[in-house]
Order: sequence, then structure tokens, then C-alpha cells
Amino acid sequence: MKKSFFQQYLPQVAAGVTILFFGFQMLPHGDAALDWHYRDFGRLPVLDKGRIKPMDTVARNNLMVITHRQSYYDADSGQRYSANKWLLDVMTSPDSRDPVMGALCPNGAKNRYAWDYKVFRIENDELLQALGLKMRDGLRYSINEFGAKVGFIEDRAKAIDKTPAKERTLFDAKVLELAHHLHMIAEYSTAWFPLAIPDAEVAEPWHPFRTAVVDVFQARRAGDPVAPETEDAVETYLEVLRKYDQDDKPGFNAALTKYLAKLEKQSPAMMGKINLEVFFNEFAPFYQCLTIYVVLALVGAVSWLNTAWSTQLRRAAFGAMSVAFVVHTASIIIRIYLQGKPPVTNLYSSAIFIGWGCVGICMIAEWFYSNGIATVVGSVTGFCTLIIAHILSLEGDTMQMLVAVLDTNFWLATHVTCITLGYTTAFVAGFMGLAYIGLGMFTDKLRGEVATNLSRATYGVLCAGMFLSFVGTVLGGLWADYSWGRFWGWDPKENGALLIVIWIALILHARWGGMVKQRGMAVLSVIGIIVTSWSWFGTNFLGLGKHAYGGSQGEAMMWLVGLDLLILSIAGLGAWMPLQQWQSFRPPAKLDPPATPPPLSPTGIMATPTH
Amino acid sequence: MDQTAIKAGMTPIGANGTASPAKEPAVMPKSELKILAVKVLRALASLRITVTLFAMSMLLVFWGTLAQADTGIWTVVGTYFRGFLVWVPLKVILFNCVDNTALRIPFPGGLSIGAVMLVNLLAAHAVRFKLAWNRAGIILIHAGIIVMMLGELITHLYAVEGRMMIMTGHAANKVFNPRYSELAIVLPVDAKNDQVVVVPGALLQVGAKIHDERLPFDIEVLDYMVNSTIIDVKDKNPANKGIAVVMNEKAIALPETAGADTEQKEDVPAAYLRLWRGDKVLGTWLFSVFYSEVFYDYIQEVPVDGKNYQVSLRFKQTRRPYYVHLDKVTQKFYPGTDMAKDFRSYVRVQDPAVNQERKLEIYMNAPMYYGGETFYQAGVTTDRPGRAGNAIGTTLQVVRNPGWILPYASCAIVGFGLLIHFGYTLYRFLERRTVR
Repeated sequence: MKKSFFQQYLPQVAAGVTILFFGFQMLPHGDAALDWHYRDFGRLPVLDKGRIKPMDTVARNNLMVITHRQSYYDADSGQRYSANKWLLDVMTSPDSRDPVMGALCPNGAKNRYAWDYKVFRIENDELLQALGLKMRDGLRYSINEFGAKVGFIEDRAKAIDKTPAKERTLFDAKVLELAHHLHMIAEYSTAWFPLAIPDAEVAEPWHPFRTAVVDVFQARRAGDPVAPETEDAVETYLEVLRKYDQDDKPGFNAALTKYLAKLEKQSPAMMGKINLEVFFNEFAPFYQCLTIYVVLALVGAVSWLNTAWSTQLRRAAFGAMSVAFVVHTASIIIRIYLQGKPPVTNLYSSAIFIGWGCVGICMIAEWFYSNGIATVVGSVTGFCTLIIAHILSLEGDTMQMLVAVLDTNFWLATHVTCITLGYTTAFVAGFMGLAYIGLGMFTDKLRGEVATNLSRATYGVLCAGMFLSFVGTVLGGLWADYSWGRFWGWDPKENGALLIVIWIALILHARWGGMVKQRGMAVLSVIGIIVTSWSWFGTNFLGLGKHAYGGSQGEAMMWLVGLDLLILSIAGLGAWMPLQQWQSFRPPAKLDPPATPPPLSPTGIMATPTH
Repeated sequence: MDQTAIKAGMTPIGANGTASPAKEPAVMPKSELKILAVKVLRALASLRITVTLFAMSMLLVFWGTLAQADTGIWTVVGTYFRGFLVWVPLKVILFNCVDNTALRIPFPGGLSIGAVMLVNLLAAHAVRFKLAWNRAGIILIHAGIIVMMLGELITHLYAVEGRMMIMTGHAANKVFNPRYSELAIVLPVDAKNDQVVVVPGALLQVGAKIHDERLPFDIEVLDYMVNSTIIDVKDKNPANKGIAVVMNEKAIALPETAGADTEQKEDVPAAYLRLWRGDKVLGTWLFSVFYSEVFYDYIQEVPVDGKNYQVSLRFKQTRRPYYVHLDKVTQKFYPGTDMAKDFRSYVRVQDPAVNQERKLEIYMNAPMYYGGETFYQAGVTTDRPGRAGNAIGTTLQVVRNPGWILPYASCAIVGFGLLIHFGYTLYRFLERRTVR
């Protein structure tokens, strides 16, 4: 069949379109009021949670925690504003009685613009009722809407704070959450946060604007010397906040431009990182990859249909996936550079790393078998893990510092990377198992070599998983022995890792012993998803009492249990339904029986297939 | 279905796998006994047993994890993982979804499963042993796993863990183990020597009466609490002698600190003891680790026949023949946070036997090795909580484990074995592809 020109070059076109998509997302965009240099404001360096980072990151993280988005959407004007504008408005909306900030921003103190921002996400019925609010679309409310009840929230939160965490109700958890968010806003509007003013003199070299401005003025009056860095920063903030309050756009922009130019000259290394992080925030590469993976999952699935386009669609998906994988990889490398740590340091980074690993492994499998199944498995797992990462990022900064015992690059790079890749392989094998069951039951694709190849790929991934999870777990033990003299302590996280190792060992031995064949291995691999998700997440929920299931962790727990039940029922269906009733294995068509593995070699390793 | 495949699966013990069973008589030894032995060995080597053991060990590990929601980690380790038989409560079996802990089913513990696994593994290698490239990896992997299991067994049997607390400017030689308690009866003889009798906490069972020639009095155990706290007495004080009467306090039992608790605290044992001198009751005392170690560092005195015995319930302790002197302890935080970045103890070991001092820094991931023991930085005592506090003392974790090398050896052996085995599998896979 002759292919049309377009058909022939579809893979290249797909890769090109993906590159264009990423390129477009890299352009700075998304602020309705760009003539104010909010982006420059976002480039101001601050010290937050132990790390020097751009104001942009602080603004985004705080807004993310409060409203679950990185930007503010104003439903009334239909405009979208950046987190920087929101934070700036918070900082210039002080209490009029505040002697420092109230005096500096009289207009803001009078109008309190930030109090009008509908950013507080309140979804709990009981809490809405207590605040006298009506449920509405988007579930986001402004302080002005429940201002009268702020005192009630604070008192209630104080009382709840005294009760043990295990006895708190869902309502209690939500009250605490809101009180915490209000407290955050208060810290910024009083300028106690962030630590924005550098100081060359003292051991802990950054101060909040609030104390720094007072210190500088007192020092000047007393004739004491002030560090030039400190003075510059204080002057800049004074100017920026005052001009913003006075609605003086040129003044605001000029003050920022001048200060940033000076910083670029003084500390180019720091500003290099800051600019990279701002770019990284704006680009949001993992979010873009997530979008691509969704599309690829669909394209890959369509490529299974037997059309003239099948092969080219499959190649197109592979081409686009390669581009997304490059972006995914580069983004992880940028994170490593920004944080100065190996790729996995917390749950969030484990999610993006697992997603990366899943896509990578599936690309290798697709390279070998070219049947489009691995592409779909890769994009689905990539999509799922990035969604999980996105949900985890709601908790705030994704590049936190590490407690003393974890602060070692050697063990993070070896043990943590190994064990996370172990999770990755278990997930990939599980999703390949799902593909086996799904394709076998509902399509006639899973015949002959397709089934054998899928099964062989699963087997290969499981072997790699055995190696990685075993070595990873043992390295964890060695780290523990090295850190506190106990190789194995039987604690929940260790046990979780051990469960994965035993489970993969069980699957492999069951196969070597002929107890399971293709179908059995697929079903067992699917159950492996549950075992792995327990190890990854479940153990974190162990210490919670019954009531805490209502909190945000409780919701996550419910999701986990629900998904596990779904996966378990698919596995159950796969194990229970007789093969003759699967669409792919249905008689009368006389096909090679794909459910039978090739004979075992004397060693228990799969013998070379004869076909 | 392919019959040969099934057969191969059903008789995995066959040293020659797909070889048909009909051939067996030809190679069988003459003696009946030998035939039986081989049969038994082959049955023991079954991969079905292996898979069953894997499944059982997973259940055990999973339940042993869930049990930690309510029970202390060391209790769980003792019963689930280092016991022969464990009675698992219904609550744990049903994933903590119900509250019933009264109903329990027996399940083989870690020692039983481990032992059968070992037998299964050894039998499998005995039947299938063959020196070949594709076997080398498998043999190494399993040898390494045996080493690891032995390592855990040796740790269980011989490893000793303890804590050493030193305040800045002081030296200590006492190592205590918060997992065990003991009742110490001390009679100071002169300025340098004490006469000490120790009753292990395990003997302090409620209702027990302890009589021993070495004790100045008999002990009747009225109450023993694994974990407790001290509260003010509102009604009647169960004690009628000692500090509890002076302070008007009593001990109430608390549940054992659960393994999964986010805030890991140590259990504080307490005991109400009635002391007898012959037929005469000396009184009822409250002895608690709370008084002796946690809070007051207060030792109660019991006068018997004109001698004052210092009696205390304390964490089990031993003394080293050398002292560890703490010059300084520091803690660093990440700037702008309450998160500790580094704890560091500057110590000197003063050992009269070697007549020299060793100066060392101990910090996270950098322990000190001395006298066959390893000293790890475990914590810092501060005068105030958070970053406002000054570090005034240090806590070192002191570990002696004769089997410490085994996990390292095992890791190397198994890792190497896995590399060989899966590397070989991968090699054959790639080779097959190029042939095609």
C-alpha cells in the first residue's frame, strides 16, 4: 500500500509538534497585567525553608497550598493573575494599626485589596456552614466573605491544637487547615516573612523585611555601619512596596530593574540559579509532560485498531514520547542542579522519578517489540505518576531540606535511587499485566507472538525489578547499620520494601516452577501494583488513628484503598475468567495456544522459543 | 495445553528438568533407604513449598507491620519475626478494619518460616546442584540469602544495643538499654565501692514473690506497668512509703508505645512493690523509671537493719571499663528553619587500660568505633526545645553486633549473583534476537 506523504512523515511531524508545544510553553506567559513587572518581583532572592530561592517559588507554593493552583483566577473580571501579583497584594495589604507596614502602605491598609481575593479553598460542608458561606462553583472564598468569623476560627484552632491528633474530627482538621492558611497570610502582610534581606555580618544571614527595616534605620540614627547588601535590599523593598501602594508603575518597575541588575553583577551564580528556577516554575515541565502523556496514551490506543494508519501512528507516538522523555529527563536534571541533591529526596520527587523510569523502561520495551503496547503502558504510568506528583505538590515546596540523618548524597544516590527504580519496575510490570488482561479479554490483539512478547517483556522487567528492589532494600539496611548500628529494624517502611522483594521473588519462582504461565504472571504482576503502592504510600498512613482518616491524608488513604480494590478486582477477573472466554483466546479460530509458555530448560530459565 | 510444560512444572526438583520421569529408575541408587532419602529431599526441594513460604512470609511481614499500629515495635519483632508461633489478632488479620483483638489465630512466626525456607533452599540446591555458568548466579544468590538470614539470627541472639547519655563537661561509662528494666538494690560500702544486687524486670510479674539470699528483703509485686505516667493522687495513695507519698503522686498504666507512632518515645516502666523483712512488712513503695532516670534522677532509700539501701527501678544498664568524656556538643539548623542539619559530639575516650586519650567527633553517619562497639550520634539534650535551646548533652547509641559484617557480605554476594544470573539471561535474550 502506498503511503501518502503525510502518512510517511507522521512520526517526524509528531515529534516536531511536540517540540513546538514544549517550546511554546517555555515562553513567559500567563499574566493579565504584564506592564507591571511582576516577573521581576518574582526574581527577588529570598531565604525560605533553608534554601535561597526566588520569590516566585515562595508565591507559587503558598498560593498552591491555599488555593491548589499556581495562579489566581478572578472570576469577576475573567482575568488570570500570577502568584507574584497575589503575594505582592498580600504584602501591601497590612493592618492599618501595624506601625511598620501600615505606615508604609497606607492605601493598601485602607483598602486591603488582598482581602478580596477568592483564594481560600473551603470544601467542607460543616465549615462552610460555620462560616456562614454558601457552597458555590470552584469552592473558593475571600477573607472579606467570612471576615467576621476569623476570630472564631482562631479560637477554635487553639482549642483543637490541644487535643491529641488521633481524636480530631474532619471538621477539626479543616478548621486547623484554614487557620494555618490565615496565619500564612498574616505572616506575609506583616512582613515577618519571607526572609528577604541578606546580611553579611551575622551567622544566620537573612532577615525578614520587618526587622531589617527597623534595624537599618536605628543603625543609621546611631551612626553604626550597615552592610551594603542589607541596605540595598531594604531600600529596594521600601521603594517597591511604597510605589506599588501608590500605584506608581514606572517607579515600581525601575526599582526592581535597578536592584536586579546590581544583584546579577554581585552574585551571578546565585542569580543564575534563581533565573533558572523562575524559568522552571513558569515552564512547569512535569505538567506539560503530563499533557503529552495523556495524548500519547490515546494515540497509542488508537494505533491498536487495525487501520492503514496503525504503524505510522505507533511510530508517531513513539517519536513524541521520545521528545517528552527528553524534557522529563532534562527537568529532573535541572532539579538535581537546583537542589544539589540526587533525584529522589521526598515523595514528590519519587513520583516524578518513577514516572520517568516507567516511560524509559517502556520505551526500551517498545524499541524491542514495536507493538504499541509498551507506548500505552509507558504513557499511562507516566501520566498516573505525574498526577500523583501534582497532588503531592499541593503540600508546598517540592525541594525541601532533609533532616540530618537523610542528608547524605551517597546513600540518597544509591539506596534511594535503587529502591525507587525498584518501585518503577514493579509498576511497569503491573501495568503490562493490566494490558495483558485488558487486551486479552476485550480485544483479539493478544494472539501468538504479541502475547508471548508482552509476557516476555513483563518477565524481563520483573527480573530487573528483582535486582533493583533487592539491592535497594539491602543498601537501605546497610545505611541504617552505618547510621545507627541496626541493619534491619522491621519498621513499616523497611517491611514495605521487603514485601516487594518477596513478591517479585514469588512471581519468578512460581513461573520457574511452572505454577503460573503467561496469564498467571500477568495477574500476579497486577497484584504487585498493590504491594508496591502499599510500600510507597500505605506505610505513611499507619500511625493515623481512626478519626484522622478525615484529613487530607485520610482522603489520600481512601483513594489508595479504592484504587487497590479496583486493581484487585481486575486481577481477580483475570484469574477467574476461563481463557476460552477471553476475546483473544476464543475458539474456533485455530491459533497457537498463547497461554502456554515454552518448555522449561533444565535450569528453570525459559528455554529458547522454537518459533 | 502443552503437557510437557506442565510436567516440567510439576516436578521442578528434577535435576534434569524436562527429562522424562521414566528415565529415573536407571539412575536410581540400589539401596531402598537412599531412594527414600532422595524422594524426601526432592519433596522438600519443591518450588511449590518455596512459593507457599513466600506467600506466608508476606502475610507475616504485612501483619507484623499492621500490628505496629497498636503494639511496640520490639514486642512485634519478638513475637512475629523472632518467634516460632504467633497468635495474630483478628484486628490485624482484617487490616485493622475491626477492633476485635480478643480473637486470635495461630500463624508460624519468622523463625519457623525462616527455618523451613532454609531447609527448602538447601534441599533444592542439594538435588539440583550442578556447576554450570547458568547455575553460578543462582547458587550465589541463594548462598548470599542464607548468609543474610544467618546475620539476622546472630543479631537476634547476640547483638546488644544501648544508649549512653553524657552532659557537656562530664564523662560517662554507663550504657543503658531502654527496652529492658531492672530493679537495682545498692548498698554503698565505701567511697569507691558499692554492693549491687539487680532483679531483672522480667521477674517483676504481678503477684510474684521474690526471695533470694542476696536480697536484704523479700519483694512482693503488687503491680507492674510496662509503660506509665505519674499523676497527682486524688483519692488513696497505693504507696505508703517513699517519694510517691512525699509528692502525693501515683503511677497509672499507659499503653505500650506503638511502633507506628510518629512521636517515638520510650516506655516508662513502673512498679508497686511491697517489701518484706521476714514476716514484717516494711511498706509499699512506688518505683518508677520516671523517678530514677527520666525526670528526677532520684533514688529512694529503704532502711533495713540500720543500713540504707538505695533502691530504684531503672533501665537495664551495664558499665564500660573506660569513660567517654563530652567536651562539646553542637547542633546546626538549616537557616530560617527548625530543621536540624547536623548534630555533633566532640568526645574523648579515657581508657585506663591503654593510658591514652582518643579525641573524636561523632556525628550523623560518622560513628566512633571503640572496644568492639560502635557509638552513633542519636540525639542532643537541650535546655529549651527548638532552635532557641542550647545543646547541653548528647545521647549516643551504643551497639555491639558480632554479626555486623554478614549483611555487607550478603549484599555483595547476592548482588553479584543477581548480576551474573540476569546478565546471563539478558545476554541470551539479545543473542537470540540477533540470530533471528
